[in-house]
Amino acid sequence: MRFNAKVIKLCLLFLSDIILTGCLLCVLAFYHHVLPSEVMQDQSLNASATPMQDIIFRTPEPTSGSTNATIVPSGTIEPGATDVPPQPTATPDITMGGIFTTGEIIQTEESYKSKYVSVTCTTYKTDKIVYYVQDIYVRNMSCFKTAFAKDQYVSGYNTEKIVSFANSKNAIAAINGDQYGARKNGVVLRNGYLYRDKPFDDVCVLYNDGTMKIFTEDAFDGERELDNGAYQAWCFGPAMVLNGEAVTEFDSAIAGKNPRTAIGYYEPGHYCFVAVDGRQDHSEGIRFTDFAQLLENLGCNMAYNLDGGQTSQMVFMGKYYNSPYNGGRSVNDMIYICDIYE
Amino acid sequence: MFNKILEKVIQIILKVLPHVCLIISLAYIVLYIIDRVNPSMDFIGFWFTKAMLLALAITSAVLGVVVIIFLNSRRK
Repeated sequence: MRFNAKVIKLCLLFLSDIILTGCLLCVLAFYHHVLPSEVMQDQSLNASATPMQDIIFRTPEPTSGSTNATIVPSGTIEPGATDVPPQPTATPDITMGGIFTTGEIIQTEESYKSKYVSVTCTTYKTDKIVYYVQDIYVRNMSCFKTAFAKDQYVSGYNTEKIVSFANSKNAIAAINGDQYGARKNGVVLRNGYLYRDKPFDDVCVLYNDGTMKIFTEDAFDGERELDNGAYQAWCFGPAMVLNGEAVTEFDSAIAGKNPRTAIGYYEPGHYCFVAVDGRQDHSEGIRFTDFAQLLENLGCNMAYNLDGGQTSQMVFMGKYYNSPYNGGRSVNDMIYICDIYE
Repeated sequence: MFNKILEKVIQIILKVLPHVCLIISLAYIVLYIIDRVNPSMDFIGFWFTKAMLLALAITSAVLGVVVIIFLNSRRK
């Protein structure tokens, strides 16, 4: 009897220690996740808007036979030469073979097309997964933007619901970013301003000229890339496709079947947003290896994984385009496409 | 008088500090495991964790000294 009482007292003592350990961890989580730190206004809002140069597309090649091509007389006259007939040359097709419009906005349930932006949404269904692709063309990189929740860079809890967030920015298409605020490290370079330079995994960089590169953690230098014309950089990863080939090996604890979001790059000005539903009856989610293969099959030259799970969300014209797990969580940041209104 | 106070202090330390050590150690083990699973969260590099580790070092040192004194006085 006496022995039992002693044992119970000892157990209670240890239990109180475990409870206090839990309390200590909760305090730590509060400081780590919730309490905002490094609060800063979105610097792109303060900066005077400097117009970016239009992107030089590699494909499709403008052809003189194109219906939209206009032939203008041009040519040089050699000194002394007379009556040289002007040689006709083709000016670039401003619709890029019908990708863009000449000025009007054409909008359907699944697409948006204007002089500067073209977004086409497609839903793909297989036996096990449902995924969504937004095929994006931007003529000017100022149409490709990122934004912080509440227009503030905050390392800590600072979130917005992505649909209202996208609507507040007049976004045509949007996906979640790398959820930078949930971590104290990682690279945060947005709209040409470097907020944080502490890489922990592969870093995806989008440059002012529309090109995209993916760096390993050790190879990235924020200041150097800013000098090289970096426009956006995300740090979540890992890289899914490098130079057109899917990455096949991943050392990650979250490589199993999950909802996913990725950004893909074809060529300057041509990108895709991809979201895969997961943890639901209609779609179980996708492994990293399969996701990389899917992105390679889509033809991406580069592709980079962004935050997934409940964060994985895709918006088109102010509405969810995917079915986020558990309704999706509020996001720290988003990547979005907007139009230029003249 | 002084000896009695010292004895009381030592008794309190012997009662409290092992629990403090245990609590901080358990918390650190949990954080270490989470950090292994998801290194991007960087729990180990967080200032709070570093402060916890420092607290563990201080309490362990104090506890060590007190236990040595206590055992020494008992032997006498």
